[in-house]
Amino acid sequence: MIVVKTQTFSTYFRKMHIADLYNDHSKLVYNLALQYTQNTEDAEEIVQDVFVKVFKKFDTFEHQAHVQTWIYRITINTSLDFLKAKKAQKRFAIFSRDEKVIERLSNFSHPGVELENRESFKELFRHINSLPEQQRTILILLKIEQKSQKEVAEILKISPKAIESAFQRAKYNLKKMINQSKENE
Amino acid sequence: MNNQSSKKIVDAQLEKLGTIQKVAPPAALFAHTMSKIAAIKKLYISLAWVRAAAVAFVLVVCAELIILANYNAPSDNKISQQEELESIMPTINYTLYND
Repeated sequence: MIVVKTQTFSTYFRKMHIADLYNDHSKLVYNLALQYTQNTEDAEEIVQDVFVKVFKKFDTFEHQAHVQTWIYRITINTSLDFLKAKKAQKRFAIFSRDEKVIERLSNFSHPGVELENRESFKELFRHINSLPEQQRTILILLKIEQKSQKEVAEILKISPKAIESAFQRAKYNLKKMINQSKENE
Repeated sequence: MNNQSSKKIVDAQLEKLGTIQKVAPPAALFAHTMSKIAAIKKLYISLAWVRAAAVAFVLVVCAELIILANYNAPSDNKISQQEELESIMPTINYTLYND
């Protein structure tokens, strides 16, 4: 009989090995952060913040939950908070007409995207970034991270039905945005 | 553009998202993250020290209580000393005979 061991946090908690956690999940965190920011510098900053949060929240972790799900949640929240702060920073830079800061903050440097597709992806991510937070997260998890609806529901702590309806709304909004930009061309 | 073709465009765009490759984080990021965590670790007081301080506090309070309880309790020794004093010292009767 094959026993599948679920990697619960208690194992890590006993060992107190944050380095183990980093080795196992840093790629996941980095890539998810990249899907939100499309920028390597920002993604690196998010990775650091996520593992600092993991270290701080050792005690509040629900031991029944899966470590990966927990880390997904932290990464999503950290990325969204980071983007809010960046948006405020960008607004201030526009107000103060600081071209260098504006350019740095709008830089698209997603290493997972091939060079020849960079422009089309930049345009696509511009639309995705305009979506409401929840719709954007669901789209990223379903389509880029290739997670199932059940897994996404578990990560976001909402029902699979709610995931489906939010995804349909995201698709509808995306369609509207693409049509609008085509009309403007 | 009709509804059907725009739906196809969106579906194609979404399928394209699946082609984004997963990349490994830069190696230097590990050291940066660990140094950030180490800086926080320094700010944290170890649980062992908190426990030791709590035990020391409880011991001091207990010792104080024991001392206070012993000081206020009427011990046999104190009573015997009082009796001895009363026997040595003459008790003066202040009442007047003609009252």
